[in-house]
Amino acid sequence: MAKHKKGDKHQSASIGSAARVPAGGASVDSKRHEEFGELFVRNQNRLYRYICSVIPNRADAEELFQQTNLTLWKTWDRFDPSRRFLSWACGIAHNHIRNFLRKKQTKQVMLSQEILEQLIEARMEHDDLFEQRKQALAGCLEKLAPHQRQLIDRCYTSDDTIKDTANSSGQTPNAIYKRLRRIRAALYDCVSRSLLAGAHG
Amino acid sequence: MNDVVQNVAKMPDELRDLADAACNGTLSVSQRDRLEDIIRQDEAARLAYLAYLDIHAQLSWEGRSGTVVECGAAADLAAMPVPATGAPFPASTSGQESARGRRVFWWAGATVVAAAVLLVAVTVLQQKWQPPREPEYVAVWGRGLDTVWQDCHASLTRQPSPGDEIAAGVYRLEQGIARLDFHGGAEVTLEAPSTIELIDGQTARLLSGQLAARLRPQQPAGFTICTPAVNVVDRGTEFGVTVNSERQTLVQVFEGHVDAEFVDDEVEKTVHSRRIWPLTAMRFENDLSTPARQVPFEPLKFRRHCPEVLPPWFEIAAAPLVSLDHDPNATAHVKALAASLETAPASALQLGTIYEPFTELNDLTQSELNALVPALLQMLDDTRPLIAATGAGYSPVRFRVADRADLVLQFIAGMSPAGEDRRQAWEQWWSSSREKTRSAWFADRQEDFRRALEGWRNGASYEKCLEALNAIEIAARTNDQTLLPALLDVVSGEISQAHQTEVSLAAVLDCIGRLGTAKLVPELIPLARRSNRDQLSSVPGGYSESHARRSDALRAFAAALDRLSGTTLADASLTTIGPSAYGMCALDENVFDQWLQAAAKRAGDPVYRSPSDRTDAEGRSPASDGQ
Repeated sequence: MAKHKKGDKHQSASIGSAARVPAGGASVDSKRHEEFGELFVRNQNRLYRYICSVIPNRADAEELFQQTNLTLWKTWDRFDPSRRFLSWACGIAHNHIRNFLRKKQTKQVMLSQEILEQLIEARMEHDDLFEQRKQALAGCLEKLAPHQRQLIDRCYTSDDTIKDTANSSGQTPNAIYKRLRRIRAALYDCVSRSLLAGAHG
Repeated sequence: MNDVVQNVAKMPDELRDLADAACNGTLSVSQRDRLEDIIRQDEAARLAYLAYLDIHAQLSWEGRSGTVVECGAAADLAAMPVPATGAPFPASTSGQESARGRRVFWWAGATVVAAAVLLVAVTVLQQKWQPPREPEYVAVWGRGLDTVWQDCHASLTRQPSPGDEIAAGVYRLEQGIARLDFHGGAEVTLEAPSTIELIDGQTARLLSGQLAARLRPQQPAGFTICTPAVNVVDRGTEFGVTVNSERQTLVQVFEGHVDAEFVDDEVEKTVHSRRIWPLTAMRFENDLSTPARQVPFEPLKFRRHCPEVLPPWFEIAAAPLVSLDHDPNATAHVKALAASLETAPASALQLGTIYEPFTELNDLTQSELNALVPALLQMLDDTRPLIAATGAGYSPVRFRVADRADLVLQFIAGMSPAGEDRRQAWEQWWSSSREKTRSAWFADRQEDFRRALEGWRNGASYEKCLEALNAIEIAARTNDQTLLPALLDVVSGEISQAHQTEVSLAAVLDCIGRLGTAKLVPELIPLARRSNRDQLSSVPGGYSESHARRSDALRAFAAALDRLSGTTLADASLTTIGPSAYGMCALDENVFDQWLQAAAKRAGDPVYRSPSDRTDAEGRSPASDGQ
């Protein structure tokens, strides 16, 4: 009912020259808000990959991703539309990553801050390359054998550790690691070849 | 770029091993050191490492929604990639994996012995490997109207159909209205433009936009809508949530109640929670230090059902605003509309949801104007039969439609000389029909409204309560003062019952403020005083439901009394009680006399004469003996 400030209008006989209704106090542009929503959804995948490349542990990456997303929405109006959305979003992710490394004492051996900064810079600089590689990955995944696909599925969709996966399939963790190593390398090369073929084709 | 591509392709084995260990989280300290050395010195290695990890990242992304890869198609053996190092791929291991040759042998059909081996191997395979999991489906697409739906996987070009399962993830409804049926039992009607994250069968996060949620009967409560400001937990209800561009969250409860939970991001725990009762609406800010405010309940604000067909534009025009704030840059909207008015039903939907573009346009070109005005005039002509066909039913919908038509007329009259005649004709027709229908309608409904208001106070059915709220809205907008006594009755009843019933005093007092005159102030003051005394009779140490409700009422009182007496005392006279985070407040005792004095002055002022004043006998002094 806050907008019913014009309610009195109906009593007066003449409307034509009535004062223009003010547009309201909010200076934030709701059109910008909409556009932000679009950019947000479109960049989800890239943002996630950026985080997960730097922090490969899936649970950690997920947490950082959620935190980053929330910050993006909480500070959405600080985004300057003339900038690249992804740069801004990755900058925010970077902050969360830095905080995460500071706070978290994990048994896992992690790369140092210095190296991570180098990696992050390289990643941003060659974003196009990684996008091209990602496009090629879908085709390469299709070329995997069914049992390979099953392994990838198993390892990447469930929350089970490699140990659990190994146990439930009667293999040693080492064997699983070896197989993953082979599959990932195969995918890597397939993607590289696609890009090379594309460059000449 | 070619160099880079080639260099990355040549990733050496040692680096691959290290990168792989990083993916698995199995790097040893010495491996980590070695990896860092390589990365530090060699730029190509850096990129290769990132490219390797990117594969892991993309697989993880796919894995988040449940299936990495469809396992239906048979492998294309001939096309299997051969790694640069020349090792056979896939290499056979302890017998689980088959080398190329063996598989072909099996599938080619073989001797009995071979068939037995096949059987055993297949059984073994089935035991060892679970089938790929289904993506985590969270909701079913119930129905959509004129929708454009965008999902974060960005590859989805097909729009959902009724019955489709929707997986967890971030989505955007760019256009239209959609109904999602969550597995947890809630039906959500989502309006464009909205961005929503589906988390699981019982949870979703509204990042921007508007939705209404309704729990199906006999379903467990607990369905939650998270927003940047606050989490809304359903306790067996129907409610609406809006998140606007200022990150404010509006929660409006239709039936039952919800709990609004404030989560502190640092500690990730619920810090406190506020119950919201039916037929009330609250607005929450994004930071914990600003307390929530009660705002008037708007019955028509949310789309609570997804309609089957696109209603005509004038019914949409009657629908409430999508966003809480105003769009100062509406020219762009209307330009787009002018371009598309010929074509799509979507335009009608858009036109309906933008409520004030016509008063803000400055720079339409003449040709855009030429395109726009005739189309708008046509729309006005379409509206007439709807408004004319009132009979006994002058509804809020039609009322708003007429409101919209007025805006269009303003615009037309302002922008085009030809429009002025049209506007006058419309105005004549409208004022005569309005008077006639309005008096007929009120004569019919007055008694109903009074009973509805009383019923509301005494805990009548939900439908009756809505009717009461509608009555209030119409009374305020049409200046129907005959309902004032009933409204005052509601207020006094609510106060004598210590705010225990489910009446939203904000709406009632807002209406009283707009309908009444300064003469009403002496009647209101004792009620406000009493509520204030109750409020101050005990000091809450933490959150207190009754104090919170009285705070909402006191704020509404202050706003109404300011309005009636022509003062601006509210802000200065409301003081916080209890912990500041909860926004509980009371009024400074001194302010009541100030209101009485100001009102007395105003009522006696001959310049200030309202229609109800005229009915008083001459010479009667305004009520200045305030208690």
